[in-house]
Amino acid sequence: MKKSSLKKYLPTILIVLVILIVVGFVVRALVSPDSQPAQTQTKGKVDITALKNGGSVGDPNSKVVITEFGDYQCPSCGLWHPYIKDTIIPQYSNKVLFVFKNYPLKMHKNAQAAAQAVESASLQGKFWEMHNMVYDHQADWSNSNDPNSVFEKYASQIGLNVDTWKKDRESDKVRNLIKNDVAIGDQLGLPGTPSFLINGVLQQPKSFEDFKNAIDQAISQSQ
Amino acid sequence: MQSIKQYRNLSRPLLVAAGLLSVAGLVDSLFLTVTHYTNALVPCSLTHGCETVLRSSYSEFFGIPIAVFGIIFYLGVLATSIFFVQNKEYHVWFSLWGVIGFMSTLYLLFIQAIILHAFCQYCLLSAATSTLIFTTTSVLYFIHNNKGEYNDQKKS
Repeated sequence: MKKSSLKKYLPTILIVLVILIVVGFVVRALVSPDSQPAQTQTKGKVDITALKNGGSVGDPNSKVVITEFGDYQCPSCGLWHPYIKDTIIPQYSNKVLFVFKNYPLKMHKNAQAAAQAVESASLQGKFWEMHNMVYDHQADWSNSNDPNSVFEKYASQIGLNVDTWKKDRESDKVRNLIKNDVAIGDQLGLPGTPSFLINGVLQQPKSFEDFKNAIDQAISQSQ
Repeated sequence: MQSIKQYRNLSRPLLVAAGLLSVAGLVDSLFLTVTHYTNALVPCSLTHGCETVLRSSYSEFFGIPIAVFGIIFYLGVLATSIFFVQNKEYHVWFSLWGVIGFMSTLYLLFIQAIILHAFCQYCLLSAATSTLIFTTTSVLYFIHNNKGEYNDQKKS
């Protein structure tokens, strides 16, 4: 680069660098972990028995109840799912009761249909099989205009009586079950999905490890 | 009214405006890029569709977050506008930046409204800044490239 052209470009380069450093500091301040507590009380209260009802796995007599309010189409729920399925449930199913409750968000067009698909499978005793299928393949049906045809394939794959499942899927029983879960979530004033509660206390983990530590703490306190 | 060329003295404030807008866009894009890589576990909110938008397959282009392209775009606008102000220069190709940004904005708004049915406020902020940059660069284009076709003196 000639000396004259360097003189021409240098001020611009320096100003851009200074602005970049300032922007970097601003963004760092914006994304730094805030003072949000790891655990907090929910805005509203419900009886703990309401948090025990739903698709559940683990020890029904445990003093530690973990409740997930989830939306099958929520990408964050989809990210949590493998950790819950492969780490939390296998490690803690003999010590805690893990319950899933539906909280389909209105902005997710197929979330309600997914919840109905899973709850109707539950009537044939295959809640977790369908729950895992739907979460594991979230990307395959999330933007589909006909998600039920995708869920029907899952129903067939996990060995459901598909005709019964289809009738149940649209039944008032299944719809009311989901409506009831949503009403509980609304009453609690949940901020979004997934919302994890340990014995009714809302968890705000920033990592999987945070969540695991909170469970360990709840178990040690219950003993 | 006089020739549109008389508005050339607006070049400097318009370039400064484009530069300032690009700084706002840069903060937004860098924030979204960092969020893309670090805040994967942020819950889906009841009130906005940010997670839906930021975790969708449309949030990346060839494996690179769209926000990274935003950083490149805003850096380009920033560097060019500073260079022009410093050297009291202007080249009409600067307006191409505005067109590229605006076209990308229209595409991303289409994805959010028609395909995802969810809007992210940070993406909407970027849409606003890139639209304003498009406006300023378009005005610059007209006051510099116009050869007097819009000279209203003829009418008066």
